[in-house]
Amino acid sequence: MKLSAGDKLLKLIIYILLTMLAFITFYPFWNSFVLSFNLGSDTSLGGVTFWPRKFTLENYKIVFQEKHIYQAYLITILRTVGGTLLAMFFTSLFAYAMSKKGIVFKKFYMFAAVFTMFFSGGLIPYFIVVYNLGLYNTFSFLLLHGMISVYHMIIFRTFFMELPDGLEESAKIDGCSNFGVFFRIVLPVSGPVFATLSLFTAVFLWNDWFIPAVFINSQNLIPLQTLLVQVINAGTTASLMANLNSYAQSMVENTITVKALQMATMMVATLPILFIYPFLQKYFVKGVLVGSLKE
Amino acid sequence: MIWPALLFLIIFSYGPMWGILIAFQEYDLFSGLRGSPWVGLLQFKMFVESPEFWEIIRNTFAISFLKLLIGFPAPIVLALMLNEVAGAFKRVVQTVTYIPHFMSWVVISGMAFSMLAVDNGAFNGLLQTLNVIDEPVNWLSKPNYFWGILVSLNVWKEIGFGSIVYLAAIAGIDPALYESASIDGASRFKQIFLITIPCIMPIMIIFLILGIGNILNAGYEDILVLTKNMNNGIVLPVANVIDTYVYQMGVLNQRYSYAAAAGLFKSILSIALLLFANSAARKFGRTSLW
Amino acid sequence: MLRKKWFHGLLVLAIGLTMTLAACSNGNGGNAKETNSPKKTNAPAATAAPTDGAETGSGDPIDKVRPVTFTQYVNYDWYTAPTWDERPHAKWITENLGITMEPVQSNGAAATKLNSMIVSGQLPDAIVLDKGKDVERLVKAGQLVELDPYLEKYPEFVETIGADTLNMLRSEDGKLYQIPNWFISGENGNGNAAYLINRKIYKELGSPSLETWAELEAYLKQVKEKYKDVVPLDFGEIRDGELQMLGMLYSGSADDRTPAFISAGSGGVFGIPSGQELISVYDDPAFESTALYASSIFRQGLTSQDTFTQTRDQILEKLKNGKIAVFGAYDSVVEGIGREANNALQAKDPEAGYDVIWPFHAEGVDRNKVHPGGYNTLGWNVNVITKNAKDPEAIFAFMNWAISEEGQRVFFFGPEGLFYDEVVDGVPVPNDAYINRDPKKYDELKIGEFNWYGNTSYVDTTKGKREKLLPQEAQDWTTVAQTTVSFVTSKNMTEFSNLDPLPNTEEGIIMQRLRDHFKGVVSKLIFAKSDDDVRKLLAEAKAEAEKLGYGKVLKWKTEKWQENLRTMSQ
Repeated sequence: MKLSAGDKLLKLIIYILLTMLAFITFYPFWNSFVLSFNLGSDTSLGGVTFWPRKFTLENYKIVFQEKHIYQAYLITILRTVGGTLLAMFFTSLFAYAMSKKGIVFKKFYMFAAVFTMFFSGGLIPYFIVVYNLGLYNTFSFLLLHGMISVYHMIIFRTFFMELPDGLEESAKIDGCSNFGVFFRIVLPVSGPVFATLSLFTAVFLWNDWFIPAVFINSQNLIPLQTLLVQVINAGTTASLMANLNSYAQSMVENTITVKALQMATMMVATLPILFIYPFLQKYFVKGVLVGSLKE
Repeated sequence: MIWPALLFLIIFSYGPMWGILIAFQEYDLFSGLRGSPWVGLLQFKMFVESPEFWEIIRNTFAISFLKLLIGFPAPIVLALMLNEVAGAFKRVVQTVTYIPHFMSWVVISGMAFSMLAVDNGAFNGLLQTLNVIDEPVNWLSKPNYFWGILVSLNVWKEIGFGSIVYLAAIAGIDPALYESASIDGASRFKQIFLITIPCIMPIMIIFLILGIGNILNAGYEDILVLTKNMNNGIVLPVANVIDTYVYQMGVLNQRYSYAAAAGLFKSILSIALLLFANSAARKFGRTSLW
Repeated sequence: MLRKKWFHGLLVLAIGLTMTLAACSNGNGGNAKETNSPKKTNAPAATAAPTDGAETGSGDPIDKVRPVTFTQYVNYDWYTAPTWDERPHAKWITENLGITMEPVQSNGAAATKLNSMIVSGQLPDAIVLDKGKDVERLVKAGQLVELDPYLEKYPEFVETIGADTLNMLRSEDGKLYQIPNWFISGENGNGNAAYLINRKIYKELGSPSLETWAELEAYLKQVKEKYKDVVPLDFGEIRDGELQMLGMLYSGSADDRTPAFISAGSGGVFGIPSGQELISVYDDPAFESTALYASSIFRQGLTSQDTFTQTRDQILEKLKNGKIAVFGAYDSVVEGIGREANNALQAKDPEAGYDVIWPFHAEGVDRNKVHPGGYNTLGWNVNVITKNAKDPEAIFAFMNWAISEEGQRVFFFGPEGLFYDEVVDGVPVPNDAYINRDPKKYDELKIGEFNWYGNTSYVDTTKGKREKLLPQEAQDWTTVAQTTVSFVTSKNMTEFSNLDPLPNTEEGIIMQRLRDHFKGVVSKLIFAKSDDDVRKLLAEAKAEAEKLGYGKVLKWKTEKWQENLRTMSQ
């Protein structure tokens, strides 16, 4: 492919812009990473930028000393993997059905689904429903919450609708049932959209701390993010209690500041999921669809 | 195929739907739905007639509109740019730009405050070194700058993550199209406009429709932390939106019915906007939600 | 009598056996009641013979305690409870009194958690929470246990806390449901509000007199001239809508002023006492003079321009680097602010550091009537016992013991034998373990955790006395600052308690609007361009507030205040 002069300039501009963008998105995170390894009391003096000034593993020690952290990691991983699989399976099925022409009441189903995106009864009524179903404080609830995302369903549907009809027709001619077509033909070529939405779902499940905070009571079932909120709060408590009633007995200078703790917990919580994306990147490969119609 | 999902929605989304009714009551947590008195449209009336109403509506629309105006194209542009590069550079940039999505607003606002401060703020320092300004500017205490700061931070946070969907869509474009275009003499620049963009148009439109329907969700956590939990009196008049108002009334002040009414008001408007956007899209011939 | 003793002995033996069986090798476990008697060095001799159960009216709190396990929820986003037995004092309580507390966590979503517990009927046995609307909600729904029936059986409870304090804690229906935490029963108040000055800068500028506003302004101008990158005057971070700059300065604007009067936040009065009435903030000449002064020094660049947006972290950074010459805050003397900054500077330069000084005041104001801080005999928050509890009296008996001197000793200084072996005059005598302690390890033990039954007077005086028993090391900076300035300049605000109307009443709705309005007013005042501007803004604000219904709120508050005064004088 020959590139014109205009194209070359365009490419140069793009490279520059992307580099700048990469820097401003990366630096704050890098700074947080550095601060998580820096002594809190030193950080509060300001000026720590690209490298730790007073290196320490103290902040991480506090986080990992938390008895339940390994359990919480386990719960989070199970929830994320299990929840994502369930969500992808059921949502895509629904979306596939909604993408086909000639489904009876299709408009009704679509409207009913989209309606739920805008109208909700609120947290407390949801709580009552969950509680009455006996799902309060259960792992099953963690898997079920948010399983059907209408937003994702819409994205799936759009994607499925863009698939050439020829693909499915040829399978049907060969005697495939609807389910068969879905699993054998549609699924394999939907790599990008599944990869994307799995990532979205996984990220959501991984980061969610609020729902378990309200719906889970036993320390053995709480996921990582909720536990980390507890850790940060415990660190904040000491300073807050001092401010509120001057009865802290801390005789020693606080080397572990709230900020340092926040940074360490952020790293502990975020780094694992950050690494998922590169693995999914191979699904964003060009030409997945190419070749399937050339017959 | 449909039933599992539908059943789920019926139980978990429609089940609690009765909660909407508390907007028509003077709900008391202890009396429950059946015990609380019915007041009809009183809560709505109070909301619409409150002195804050117009301010809140204006802020909600303005902030959402800005977020959409800048935040909608930004990930698309990033995806298009990333499509033009390759190799390790592309992978690194892709991964790096989506990192801010994972940082919590609490942390981000802390950094923003630190950077934009007058005393020792890095941003002011930079501008002064470059001789753009003489004296430090008090960015965070001028209402005019609030929207700009809010939207910029949002774009920064979501641009990478938002581009993922578009990258996936672009990945599905048949390379043969590009080949035949360049054979016909089209420059790369032209190809972007004639091939890439039209091919991802369907998903763009869907997102745009959803974005318009979402316009009343102008933000919540980001605004809360940037106004220091609604304590910064200077920016309050431009920062209070429906969601922060509902939070204040509902959670903090326990005026559940009032908050529910405001929330319901928002939902109704949202769905009206969605219907409007959807039928407009239909008129233009392309995809639509239904 | 003999039969009683015999029965009692059997009971003790049974408990002892169970405990020894449960906690294999623990020397203390088996002798629950008996170990206590010889160690009670300051207990009145009459009650040396333990009575079991709370049959009689008098007696030591510890004897009225019976074993119980109960769940407790602390209603704050920021609090996470560790497991009960992780703390030495808690462990002692379980082993010696048979009491265990099982925490229920808020997980950072306290309001929602409380609501969800209410709707599912799953309230814990005891709750720790702020006074006011949440307690009243629970009372109205009949979820709380009345404490009046216990007052007769446990007269020491009333004595320790004080009858008028208890009266102030009664709810709308006249009944008592709340047990206060960090109540103040003695003569002295507490508080952490004060001004600090940068020692080095002060010395270099010739240590001028710094008492009045005029002197302060002159000093700040000098600082600004000589030290280009130092903030002359700075204040604590914005809190609950309150601008600390305005509050701190207000305290010196006229006799008997305190920041709470102009605070629209929760717990604030937002009205100025004038005779028997509370008048509008905008009618107060002291507020006007404060606004004029504050706006003027802000305009001149003598105080930080970031005052509305800076975070605690940012302020601490400036302090630790010596970049602030004069600092004022409601909590400036606490360990995490004043002491930390002082120690950080001193470590680098022994001449540097921060000193606490007597608060500034306008000319003509009596220096002894300047009150940047305030205290309330009702304390910080309260404990309530819910109808969910199977044995509410046992929980009450536990709390009764906890607020007593003995209980506080265990909670605050640890169980006996750990950091002290004997108690003289109510003061635990530090033993070697305490004197030679590793400060870090000591902190990690978190003694003092779970103390929601704080008895301020006992702890304050005992803490001070214990300090004197220590060998001559540098006295704790915070303690010095507190005892010389911040405790002394704190005003008793008990009569102004409960002046916050419930949010869903008419006054409450108006108050919310006034709150938002006031936030805007304050910001405009500070950024005003001239004195005339300030006056104009005040006049406008006054009119707007009136339109919003300020008058009605003031009437309501005045009534409540007068009611408080009547209750207190009973």
